[in-house]
Amino acid sequence: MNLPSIFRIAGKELRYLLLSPIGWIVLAIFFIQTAAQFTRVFSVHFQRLALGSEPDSFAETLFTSSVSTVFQTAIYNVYLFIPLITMAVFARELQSGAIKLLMSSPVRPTEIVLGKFMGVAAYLLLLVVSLIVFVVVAALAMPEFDWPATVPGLLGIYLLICTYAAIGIFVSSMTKHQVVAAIVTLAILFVLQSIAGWLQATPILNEIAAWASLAGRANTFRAGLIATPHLIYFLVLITLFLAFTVLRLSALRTGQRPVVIGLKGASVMSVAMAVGWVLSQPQLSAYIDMTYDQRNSLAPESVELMERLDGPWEIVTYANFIDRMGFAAWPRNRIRDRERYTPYRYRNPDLTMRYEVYYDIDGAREAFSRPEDGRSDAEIISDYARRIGLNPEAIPSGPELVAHTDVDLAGEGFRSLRVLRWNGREATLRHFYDQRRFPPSAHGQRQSSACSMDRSRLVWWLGKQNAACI
Amino acid sequence: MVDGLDVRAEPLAARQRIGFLPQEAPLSLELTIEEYLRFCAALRRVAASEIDDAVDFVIRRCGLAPMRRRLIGNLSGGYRQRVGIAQALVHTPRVIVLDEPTVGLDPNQILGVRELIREIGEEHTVIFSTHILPEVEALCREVLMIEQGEVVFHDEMETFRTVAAPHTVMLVCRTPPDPAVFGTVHTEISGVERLSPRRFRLHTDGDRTVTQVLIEKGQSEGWGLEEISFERSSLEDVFNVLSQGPSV
Repeated sequence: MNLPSIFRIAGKELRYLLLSPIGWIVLAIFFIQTAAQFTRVFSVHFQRLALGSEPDSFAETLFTSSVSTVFQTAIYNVYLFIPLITMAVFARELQSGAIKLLMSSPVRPTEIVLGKFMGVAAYLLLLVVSLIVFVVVAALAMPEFDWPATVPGLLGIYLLICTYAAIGIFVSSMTKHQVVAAIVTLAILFVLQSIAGWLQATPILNEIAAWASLAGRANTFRAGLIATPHLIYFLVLITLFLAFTVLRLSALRTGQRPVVIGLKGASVMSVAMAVGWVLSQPQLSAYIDMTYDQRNSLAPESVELMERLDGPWEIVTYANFIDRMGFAAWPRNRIRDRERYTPYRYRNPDLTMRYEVYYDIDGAREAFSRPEDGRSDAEIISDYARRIGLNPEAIPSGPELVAHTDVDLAGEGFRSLRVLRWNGREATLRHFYDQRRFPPSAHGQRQSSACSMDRSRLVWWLGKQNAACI
Repeated sequence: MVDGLDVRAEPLAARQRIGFLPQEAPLSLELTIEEYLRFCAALRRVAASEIDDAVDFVIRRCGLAPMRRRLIGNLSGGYRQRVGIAQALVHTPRVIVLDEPTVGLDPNQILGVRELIREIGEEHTVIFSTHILPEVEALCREVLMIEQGEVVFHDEMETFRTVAAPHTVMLVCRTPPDPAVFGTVHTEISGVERLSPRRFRLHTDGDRTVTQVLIEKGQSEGWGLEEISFERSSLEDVFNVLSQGPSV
C-alpha cells in the first residue's frame, strides 16, 4: 500500500468535485434544505414555551428526536444527493479513457479505489460541516445546549453517506455512462432507504429488512448513542463495496472470467459478513451514550439489578392485541419492541423474547370501539387481526389462553402484560394506561419525553415492585 | 518482459519503466498542464524532491512552456497530444508506448509531434503504432506488422524499405509509343498497363534506376514525356505483398 499515491488520487478526486458545478450545487441544496428544517423546528421550541407546555431539551427538539428534526430530515433525504456525487468517480474515466493513466501507472487497484473513496469522503465531510453550522448556531442561541448529544448523530450521518458513497462508487465503476451510474445508484439507495418499512407482515423478512436498513441504524446514532454494532455494520459495508470495486478494476485489466470474479466477490462477501457478525456480537459491543441525561442508557439502579441477573432470561409478552399496549406484539412492531430492551441486552445478551397474542374485549374496553356497521364482535376482531398481519384462526381468546398457561391473566383483567422469567423465578411487568405508560429514567431529568414509546424501563419496574423476587 | 522485469511477477516495477499514451490521451480536463504532470509524476513514484525538475523538463521538452498554466480543457488537439506525450515521459521510463500519436492532428501538428517522437527516440525506446506509412519510414528503426493478430513482418527498417518500396511507375506521354516498347527499355520492367490512352503503369522490381532509363529513352524517341513518378505504396500494398495476396 503506497500512501502517497492514495493521497494523490484522493486529492485529485476532491479537486474534481470542488471544481465541478455539481459539487457546489449539491452542497448548496443540502444546506438550504437543512436551514429550512432548522428554522421550522427552532420555532417549535418557542411555540411550546409560549403555550406553557414543558418543552423537550433544545438539542432534542432540534437534532436528536425522531420527529422531523434536522438530523432526521438529513437521514431521510441525503440519499438523493449521493448518486450525483459518485456517478462520475469511475464512469467519467471509463468514458474518456483517462482510467488508462491509472491502469498504466504503478498503482494497485486497491490504491486507486481507496484514493477515490477518500476524495469523495473528504467532500462528504462538507455536508456534515453544513450540519455542524446549525449545531453551532443552536449552541450560541441556548446557554446550556447539550452539544455532545449531537456528536453521535453527526457521526452516524457521516457513516451513512460514506456507505452510500461506497455503493455509488462501485456502481460508477460498472458503467461508462454517468447518468446510468446515477440512476442505478439512486434505485439501490432508495431500496435501502425504504426497506425498513417493507415486508412488515412477515416477521422473518421484517427482521432481515430491519437488519439491512441503513437509515434505521443511522437513527440509533441520531438519538445520541454511539453503538458499535451499527458502526461496524457501516464499516463492513463500506469495505465490502470498495472490495467489489477493486475486483471490478482488476477484472478490467486482466479480463478474468465472470465465474472467477463471481467467486471472488462471493468469498469477499462471506468474509465481510463473518467479520461483521463476530464484531457485532453483544460481548464485543459497546454503547456510548453522549446525551447529558443518559437517556439512552440504564439508570444505575437498573445496572445494579442487571448485574445480578446472569445466565439466560426470558420476557414473554401476553398481548391482548386489541388493547392499548397490545400493539407492541403486532408483527410489524416486534423489532421495535425488542429494541426497547437493547440497553438491557447489552448487560445480559442472553435474552429471549416471546409473544403470546390473545384477544379479550373486556380487557381492552378502553381501546376497543365498535363501529356501527352491523359486524359482530368476532368479525371485527378477525378483520382487525388480518389487517395487522395476524392469522385470526390462531389467536385464542383470553380464557382459552389461560388454559395453557399458569399466568393469571384473568386476575390481571386480561390486559396486556409481560412476564420476566429468570432462574426459575418469575416477575410480572404491568402496563398502566396513563401518560407514563413507560417509566421515566431514574435520573428524573427527563420530563415529557419520557412518555415516548421507545423507552421502556423494565428494571425500573422490577426495582419498584418485584425487586424482591430477584 | 519489460527491461528485464516480468510484467506478471512484478507488475508495479514494470509499469514504472513504461510510459504509455493511449490513442485518446488520458487527460484530466479540469487541471492545468503543470498540475496534471505533477500528478502523473507522483503517480509514477517520482521522488517528491525531483517532481519539479521532472515536470519542468518535460514541459520544455514537449514545447508546452507557454501553456503550462492553462487548463487542459482549453487546449487544442495538438497541444493535448503533446501533454499526452509529456505524461508518458515525465518519469523518464525506459520504454515509451504510443498508440497512433498523430491521429486527428492537423498537418503542422503532425510534423511537430513527429519531430518530438524522433527526439525522444534518441534517448528512450519508443514503441508506437500507426497506420501511416511515411510515419514509419520517417521515424522507425525496427518494424513489426500485425494483421488480424498475426505478426506478418518483423525486421529492421532497411529490410522493410525493400518490401515497402514502390513497385510501379506512372508515366504520362503526349505521343505514346506502342505499350510493348516499354517492356524492352529495361529488364526490370515486367508488365505494362494502359490506364488511359496517354497514361501507363509499369511494374518493376523496385529498382530506382528504371526512371532514369525511361526519361533518357523518352527524350531520344520523342514520347513527349509529361510526367513520370514512382507510385507511393500504401500500407495495404505492403500488407498485400507480405501476406501474398489481398486480404479480406
